[in-house]
Amino acid sequence: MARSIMTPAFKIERDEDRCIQCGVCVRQCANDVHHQDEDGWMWVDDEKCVACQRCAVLCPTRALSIKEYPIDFRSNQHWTSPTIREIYAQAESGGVLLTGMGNPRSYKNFFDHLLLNASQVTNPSIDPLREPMELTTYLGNKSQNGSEGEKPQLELDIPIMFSAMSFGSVSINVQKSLAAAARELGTFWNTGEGGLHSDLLGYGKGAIVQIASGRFGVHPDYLENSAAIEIKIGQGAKPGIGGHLPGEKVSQEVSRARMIPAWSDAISPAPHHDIYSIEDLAQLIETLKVATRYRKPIAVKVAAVHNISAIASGVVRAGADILVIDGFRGGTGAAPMRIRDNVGIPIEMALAQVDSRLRDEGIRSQASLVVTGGIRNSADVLKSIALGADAVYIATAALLALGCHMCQMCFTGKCNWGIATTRADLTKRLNPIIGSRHAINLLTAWSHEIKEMMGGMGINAVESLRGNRLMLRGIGLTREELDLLGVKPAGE
Amino acid sequence: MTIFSAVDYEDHELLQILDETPQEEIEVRDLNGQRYIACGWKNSKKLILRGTAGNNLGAFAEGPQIVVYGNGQEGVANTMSDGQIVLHGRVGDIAGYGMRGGSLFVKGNAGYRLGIHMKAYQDKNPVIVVGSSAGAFAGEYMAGGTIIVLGLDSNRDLIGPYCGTGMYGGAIYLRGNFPEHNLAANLSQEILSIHELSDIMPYLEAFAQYFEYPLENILETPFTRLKVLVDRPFAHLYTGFVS
Repeated sequence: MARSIMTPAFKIERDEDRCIQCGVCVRQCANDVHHQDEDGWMWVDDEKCVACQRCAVLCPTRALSIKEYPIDFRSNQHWTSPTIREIYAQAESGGVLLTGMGNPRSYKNFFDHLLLNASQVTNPSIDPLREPMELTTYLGNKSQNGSEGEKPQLELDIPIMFSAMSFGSVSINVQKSLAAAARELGTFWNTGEGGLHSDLLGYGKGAIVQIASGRFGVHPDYLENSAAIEIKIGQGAKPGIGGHLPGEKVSQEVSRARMIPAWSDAISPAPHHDIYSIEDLAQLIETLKVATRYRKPIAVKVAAVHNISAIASGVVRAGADILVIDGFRGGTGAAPMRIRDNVGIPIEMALAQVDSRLRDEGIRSQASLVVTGGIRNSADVLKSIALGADAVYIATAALLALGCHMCQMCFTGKCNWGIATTRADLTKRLNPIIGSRHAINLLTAWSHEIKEMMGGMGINAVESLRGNRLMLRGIGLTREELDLLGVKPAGE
Repeated sequence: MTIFSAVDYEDHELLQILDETPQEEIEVRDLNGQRYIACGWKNSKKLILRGTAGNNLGAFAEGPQIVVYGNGQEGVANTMSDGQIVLHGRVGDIAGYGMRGGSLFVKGNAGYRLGIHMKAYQDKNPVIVVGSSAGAFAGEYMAGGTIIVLGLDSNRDLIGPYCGTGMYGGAIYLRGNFPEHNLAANLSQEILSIHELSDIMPYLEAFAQYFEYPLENILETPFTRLKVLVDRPFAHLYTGFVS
């Protein structure tokens, strides 16, 4: 067979002086990059390397390093190296380019153009080490409607939850880590649309269970054994299209949770075919409320798209208790690259517009607003809340805490870190006790940082920061962008 | 058995009464499109409904036995896990969407989007039997289970356009002639003799019994079975590469 016109993406460099031929790299690589021959010599197959860094991290003598492959196409600002490689891949396969994780392209990042305020002299700052700071957040419909009693609420000790990642797209040990961490942290995790694995039944009451167009693993006990139900309309990484869990990832275990035959494809159609309008959505929301006797908040998750504020208004009027908006940086286990990289809008813009629209229409109290899609740190969380969010979901950041090295090859099912895989031998590389500890550490650190930043602003309850855009200033933004975000420029 | 009239009740008043009725058998008369009946029920209660059943009858339910003497509206048996609905009339759109178990028998026509993305797993094997015809998109994205369309007492096309589009599991049985151009491309067709109907004979017998229709009349016309040609039609759609 002719050699591929595609050169390797990465080059593995082995420091022969350091290498002790122990073979750890061979055993750790599910992509079969490393080989050891019978004489003990080490060989590499660069073409298979995805730069997940597993071998480099576990090499006991630090003999391995992975670099971008040093083939430089002739400089060209238009036909960049990735662009050329994508064409080679499609020319040789005829396939839709598939990718994983969130949009990596260099679009303007509005979080990085927003600055937080702090008190000086006139309004004393608060030291969170000395004074109590309130991060407790309630999610749900807070409007009081005559005779109707209080609506069901989710109580969060921190305004951060773990976003939907289905068992199948991620390993069971990821879900175990996050479910245990959520319980310890006083927050919630989300099943994604893959059903609830029997090992996690005890964590159901701490879970937001998802219903997507595939309706996988959905039955009365699944709805009942939950904290809330989330209807997934769309996802930031792939707005407007459905999902496709390839049969290779549908192991016996996944098949049990999803209630489909093992090794069959799990297709989620693009729309819910019982939702073609806001009225239809209202009907599904009501159906779920009836089915769970009005005891659980119903969330609706949509991707941030061009006319998001009108959509959000419709979703809230349809009876959603929690509106979740996923921005165009949102991660995924598998999405067509063109869609991930070119569809949707930034979450910062969508959030600001939706919060304003719901306030203008007098319906903001009918639903809580949760945003997700590219939240990287506690400052992004705080900026989101100041722009109008009640809480955020994180997923990519949580996976990084569990050991993800962002190679973006989640769809292969060969994740060497035991995260985006359903293979038992790879799954056990992620110890759920250590995983949950890391996730707890991450969010504990973030909540300390949030308290410090809030204290600096002289605010002692996250409630007081919500939608408080005076606590934000824009830097390096156009007048139009500032107007859309509803913030003043730095200096004004 | 409790019997009452629904004539004075809004959706939620009726649901509350049904919830609070302890009897295993309940008959509701004068039903006039009230929605969400038996949604999420996990029991084996027997419901007899007289009149028109509103949207999402039996949605997300697991186990109830429902007989409707009248028509059903949209979303009958939506995402139903188990149980049975026998409808002495016709149903609207999206009947049996994402249905995972149990059975739905309809005497007359079914609307658009019948049995989209039905799926089977182990002993869960959903079945829909439609007495007359089904509208467009029947069996779209079907992943498992059985849809049977009989074409009895009908002068409409047996199935509408886009039947079985994106289907990747399960089987559709059509009795008699149907417009072939309405079928999706990925389907195989087998014309079955009466001896090859053993898989669906219990459902045909049940249909004949529920609606008092002579079984021999049903069996005198041959059936065509539609299945997918390629088990994993989407397997080669995508290409992964080290980006």
